[in-house]
Amino acid sequence: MSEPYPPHQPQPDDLNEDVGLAPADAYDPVINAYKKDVDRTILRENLKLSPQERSEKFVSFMKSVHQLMEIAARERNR
Amino acid sequence: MPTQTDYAKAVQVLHAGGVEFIIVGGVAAILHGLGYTTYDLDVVYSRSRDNILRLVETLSGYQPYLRGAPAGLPFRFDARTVRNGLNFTLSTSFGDLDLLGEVAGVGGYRELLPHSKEVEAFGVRCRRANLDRLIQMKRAAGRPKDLEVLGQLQALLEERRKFPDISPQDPK
Repeated sequence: MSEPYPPHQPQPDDLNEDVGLAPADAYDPVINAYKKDVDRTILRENLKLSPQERSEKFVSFMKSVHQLMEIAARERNR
Repeated sequence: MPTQTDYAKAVQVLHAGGVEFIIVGGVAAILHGLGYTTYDLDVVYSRSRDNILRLVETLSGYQPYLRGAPAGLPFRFDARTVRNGLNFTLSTSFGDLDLLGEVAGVGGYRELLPHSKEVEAFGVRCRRANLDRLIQMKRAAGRPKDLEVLGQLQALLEERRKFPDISPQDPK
């Protein structure tokens, strides 16, 4: 019985080609599956800020995250 | 519970010490506009002799230690250690800091420098990797945990292209 697909025979050009990095916007079906659930309204709001404002927002947000984690840890140990 | 990293302090300390570094990873993504949580600061540092000396001297007052390693190891964060190693995941008195001499698919500081930009963030002028390179780095790392972030980063890239004037304070 013959194989349905003959194995790929690498050509000399294939072997020497440096494919480098794919462009940032290269299509990937797996990444696309995640992308469709992204809330773009948040992204647009963040894009209106300066990097300094984004850094301040992030620091403040992470403080809240840690406060919540501490409260949760205290409750668990009660 | 993850360590509470003082990101502003970390960036300000490196900046004040004259260390050549580029912010990458989650914090760089946040500086581009991603809404995201991360618990450490990732930076690509220059492997030049002078910069390694500056890096070691700058961090010496902040108890750098191998993150997650048992206490009491004869670890010394000195120029020899940095020269002999490449990437270090450290805990410090200001939180978790990842020092990267090289990043998969991108290379080191010299290669990343043309693909980075100086911005005002955390109260100082510092370098941040460009969005395109961040996406390429994440993809090159090939970690399943990055897939969700990759989706968000690509969406961010699309939004920037769709609304080119949306970030007057952070032009591309």
